Order: sequence, then C-alpha cells, then structure tokens
Amino acid sequence: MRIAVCLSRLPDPKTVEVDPITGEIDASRTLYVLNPADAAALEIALELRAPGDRVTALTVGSEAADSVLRDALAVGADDVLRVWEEDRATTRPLVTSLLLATALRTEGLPDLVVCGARTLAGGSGKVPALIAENLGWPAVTDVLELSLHAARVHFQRRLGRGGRSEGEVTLPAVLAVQADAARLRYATLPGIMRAERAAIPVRHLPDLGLSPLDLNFPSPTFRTPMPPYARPREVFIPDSHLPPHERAAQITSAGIAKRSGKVVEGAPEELADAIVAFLAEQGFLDRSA
Amino acid sequence: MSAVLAVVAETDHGELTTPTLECVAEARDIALERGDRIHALLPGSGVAPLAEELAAHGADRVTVIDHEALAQFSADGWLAALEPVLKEARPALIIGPDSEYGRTWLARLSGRWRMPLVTSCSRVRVVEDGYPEAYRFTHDRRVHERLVWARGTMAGFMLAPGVRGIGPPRPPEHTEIEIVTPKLDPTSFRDRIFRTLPPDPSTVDLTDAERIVGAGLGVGGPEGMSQLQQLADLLGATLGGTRVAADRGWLAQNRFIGTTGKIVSPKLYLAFGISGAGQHVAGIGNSEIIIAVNTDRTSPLLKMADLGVIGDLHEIVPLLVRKLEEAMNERAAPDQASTPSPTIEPVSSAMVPDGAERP
Ligand SMILES: Cc1cc2nc3c(=O)[nH]c(=O)nc-3n(C[C@H](O)[C@H](O)[C@H](O)COP(=O)(O)OP(=O)(O)OC[C@H]3O[C@@H](n4cnc5c(N)ncnc54)[C@H](O)[C@@H]3O)c2cc1C
Repeated sequence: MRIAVCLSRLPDPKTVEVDPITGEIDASRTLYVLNPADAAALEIALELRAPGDRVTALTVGSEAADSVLRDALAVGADDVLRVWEEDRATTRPLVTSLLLATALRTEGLPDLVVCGARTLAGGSGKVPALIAENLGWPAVTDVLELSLHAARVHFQRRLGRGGRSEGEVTLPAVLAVQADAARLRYATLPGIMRAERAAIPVRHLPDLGLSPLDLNFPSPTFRTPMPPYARPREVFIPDSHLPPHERAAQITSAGIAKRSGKVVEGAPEELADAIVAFLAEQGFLDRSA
Repeated sequence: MSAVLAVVAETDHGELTTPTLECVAEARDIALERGDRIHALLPGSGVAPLAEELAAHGADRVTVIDHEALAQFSADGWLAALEPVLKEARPALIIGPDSEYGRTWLARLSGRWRMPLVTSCSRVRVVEDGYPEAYRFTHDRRVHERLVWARGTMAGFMLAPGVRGIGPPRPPEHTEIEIVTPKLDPTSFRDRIFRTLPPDPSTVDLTDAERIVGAGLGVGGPEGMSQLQQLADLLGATLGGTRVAADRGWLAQNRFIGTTGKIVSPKLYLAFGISGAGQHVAGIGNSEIIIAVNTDRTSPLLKMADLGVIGDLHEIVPLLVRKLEEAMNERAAPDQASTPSPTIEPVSSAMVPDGAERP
C-alpha cells in the first residue's frame, strides 16, 4: 500500500503578534513550525505502514518548507516531495489542493492520503476535501481514530460540542486527522543525520503539466486585516403575553434565553420536587432511548 | 429581480441545530436590505416537520430533501442530494453552519464548482449592488479579516457557530414548502456514518458541555463535591464551578467558569452555592436554562435564574439525587425499576466491526 501525507509549515501561534489597532500580524516575529495536526497525520501514516508499504510526505511551499520534509524523513518517511511555483508568496486552499492532487497523480496515486485537519493558524480546513474532490475520491475530516480493514477505513470523527460519530470510508480516500489523534514519534539520531543530507526533490508547474492559468481561481478583490472584534449577539425575548409554558417552549426552541425568573422557597423536600418538576417540564429528564 | 440566498440546514437528533437558525437569521438580514429571497435546503430522513421552524425564522422557501439514505451523514450522499437542488436554485450565496460535515461536503462542492468558500465567518453581507463580503476569524479568533469579491460572484460562506445569536422568529408572509425525494443509491456512497455518539460528560470540555452542574464556595468541600458529581452523573452533566471552588482545589483549574476561565453555553446550568459575581456570570450568559440554589435570597444569581431555589444545598442535593433516580426509573422500562437508569452512554473507543448493525 502507498500512503501519502500532506504536511504544512505554519506560524507558531505563540509567535503571532497581532497589532491591536490594525489587526495586522507582525511577520518579523513569526516563527514557523510543522502544523500539529499534520504531525499527527504523519504518525498515523507511519503506524499504518506494513512491511513493503511506502509513506511519502508532500508539501507545497518554497525552499523554507524543506524543513518539514526533513522532519518527516528523520522519523522514517520513505520519500518526500516539495511542490512549488516560483514567485508565489502564499497559496490559497484551491491552489494548494490542486498542486497536491496533481503531484499525487503524476507521481503515481497512493491508496490513502492522510492530512491534518484544520491548521492552527488561519486554517480553513478545506484542503483535504478539495484534494479529494480533485482526485474524485471521498474525504473524511476531523478524524480522531482510524483503522484499516482491507479496502476500507473505519474512523471515529469529532463533532462539535464534544460529540463523535463512527463510520467507514472506502479506499482510495483522503482522511484529515485532528491534532490529538496521535503523537509524532521522536526522530532517531541516524534518522536526523540522514534527513539533513537528503536531497529534497522539487516539482514545478511544468513538471506537473500545469500552467499558471490553471491556478486562476476566483479570489477576493479586497482582503483587509481588521482588529479583532466581538459581534454583538442578538438576544431572544419571548412574548410576555404568552402563558409560561409557551414562553419556555419559545426559549428552548430559539436558543437564547431571557430569564423567566421564578423563585421558590420552602421545605427541602418541596424544593427538590420543584427542581425535578422544572427539569421534567424543560425536557431534561427525557432520554432518547 | 431579487436574488436567492441558499441556506443549508443541519439537524442533530431530529432538531435543527442552533447554528442553522443563526444562518437563516444572517441571510434574513441580507434579504431584508436587498429584497432577496431565502431558500432553505433541509436534507435528512423524516425531517419535514422542521421546515415550519425554518419558515418561522425567515425562509421564503424550504426544500425538504427527504430520503432514508440521508438518515446519517455521508458527504457523497449530501453531494448527490444537494448539488442538483442547489444548481437549480441558482443562489447568489450559499450560507451554512461552519461544521465538521460542512467542511467535507460543501468544501468538495466548492472545488467542483470552483467557487470561493469562506470558513469561520463572523459576518456575511452583500455590499453595494452585489459584492459579496465576509468577515472571518483566523489565528484562533485573534485576527479578523474582511474579504470582498467581484460583483455577482457566487460564494459559499460558513458561519462560525454562536457569532450572532438568534432573535425572535420573523416569519415572512408566505413560505413555500416542498418535499422532494431524490433518487439516491446508498451503496454508491463511499463514506458513511454508522452512528453518532453523545459526548462523554466526564471528559468533555466545559465549552462544549450541554449540561453543567456548577459548584461554588457554598458547596463547602470534597463531600459536597462528590454529591454534586452524583447529581451530574444522573443528569449526564459535566461538573464546573467558580474560580473560588477551583482555587480551593475542589475542581480542576480548567473547570472554572467566568471571565478568567471558560465561557460556556450549555442548555442547562445548575448552580449550587454560587453567589453570581460579575466575573462568574460573564461566563454563563449563553446558558439556555439556569437553575440556582442558594441560602441567600439576595444572591444575584438567584435573581437571574430561570428557577431560583432559596434553600440549603446540603439538604437539597441528596434529596434531589434520590428523587431524580426515582423519576428516571419511572420513565425507564417498568421491569428495570430497581436499577438506576443509565446515564448518557460514554463514547467508546472501539470501532464498529465489519458488517455491524447500523441503527
Ligand atoms: C480579577 C478577577 C477575576 C476573576 N475571575 C473569575 C472567574 O473567571 N470566574 C469566577 O467564578 N470567579 C472569578 N473571580 C472571583 C469572583 O469575583 C467571585 O469571588 C467568585 O466568583 C465567587 O465564587 P462563589 O460564588 O463560589 O463564592 P461566594 O461569592 O463566596 O458565594 C458563595 C455562595 O454560596 C452560598 N451558600 C453558602 N452556603 C450555602 C448552602 N449551604 N447552600 C446554598 N448556598 C450556600 C452563599 O450564600 C453565597 O452566595 C475573579 C475575581 C477577580 C478579582
């Protein structure tokens, strides 16, 4: 089996200094690191590798991005590849994913692509799904755990509010894993030495059969940094003419409460009963069996 | 001619998610200004009754895309079901919640259509006569950026949950509701979800918790805490509290709520022995229902609670635990009346084996 891992180099959040007036980031202070979720993806790829399998690490970026590929070689990746178009300052997700997908196709398609879900920094988390779409493959994002079962991967995926879901996807596929899905192993000293000396192969647009025109996606005409601000939230106010149970229903259906403010007093027994009754009325004792 | 704003609805256990209603509200703000029409798409299985709620919040048209194969999420399934409907709707904008599922299927659609898709949006607008504009968060919400596209660009926007809140329902005069049953072949879905697991209350982050039992200084110490833990287990709630309780060592430091702690938004917040200092209350304002128990009738939290209970928590909590057990057993199957009803099933790390039953 062939496994590809897509790695990216990101500003370390601890070094991102935001100007409170303009909202701009002071680039001179920013240090770059391997995206933690990508490190988890690399570890998972290495764990899945059976004898005879190959793990290839790819990145899109300038020469500075070689560092993440050397990191990958040091922990045991079999091959690495950097993709880049000179004169390009940064790439947007549509471009990054097109470059990665095309590189995968020209180098021989793997059976599985593992990426990091959502990057720490400005990340949109779209790249994995875009690579998949480009290759005509399925994608699963926000993966916490996965296991291989012949031509399928079983996964557990994180959902909002701490929920999870379990499912499966048929290979070939792109999976995006969360940063806490795995912890990258330490590099060995011989591994580091080898990685330092390794030549990093690079592919440019012509090598991939692409022209700069292929990278012309609709892009914003303006992109302005802003100071961070908290948007005022709209508050739900139930109609005071309604009877209490309808007000309560309105509140629970619409999400944001204006407090109805009932106060009870009495013997502990009565008070406990009042709480149970209130919880029952609000539907907190219903169990979806 | 007025434009169409498409809103893609998400459901969770048979209910519309709050972020979905936020998206409808956001679209509604744009529509009011420009005379656009909101077309909500509601994919799922047996979700038709929810169309009314989308209408109540401002959808001019709701297309329910109903199919058994859409009972659980599949990006392949969502694309097969939604792409044709979206194509026909010819929306100016597509707005949906920024969710795990959206980042799969909608991101794939954006690649397919070469359409800009903006995640983590804090605001979406259309400026002048047709320039889509979005504000989005980056770098852990520390940076904000404003993006504007050429006039008439069709773009997708995923609104960050909780950024705008929901106002009172504002139904349009008339909503057209249609139910379509797409032709779908679930065996062609390459990705599938078997089941959705609720969060494990004992490990879930407070900011994600649906139910929180809060402990304040009035709880008095570890014995009080273990009683509250029992109560939390019964309700499937997570334990949190005030900074003072955490400083006393009764709670872990990542479990206190307030301006210097976590900002929470549970459906239920049950506060015991908490006075309601400003620094604490600032962290619980997004709670849907607040119940507060306090001996002091002047405590600010009693006043802001949905149910304020004046009494001694040391007397009330043990009674409450017993009565809740009884109430829940009554609701459970009668022959299981002697065993306490199970609390929310914790997330298991086991994978579903090949050929496992799909609920
Ligand atoms: C800079 C700063 C930042 C802070 N940030 C935070 C923060 O992020 N989060 C936070 O929580 N606090 C914060 N605080 C502390 C905050 O000001 C309050 O001191 C704290 O919230 C009070 O906690 P409490 O309600 O548990 O205690 P108290 O205010 O002492 O209240 C205890 C309550 O328990 C009641 N009580 C006592 N016995 C019983 C009984 N047997 N039954 C029922 N009720 C009983 C009492 O009537 C009282 O109302 C901050 C303070 C400062 C100065």
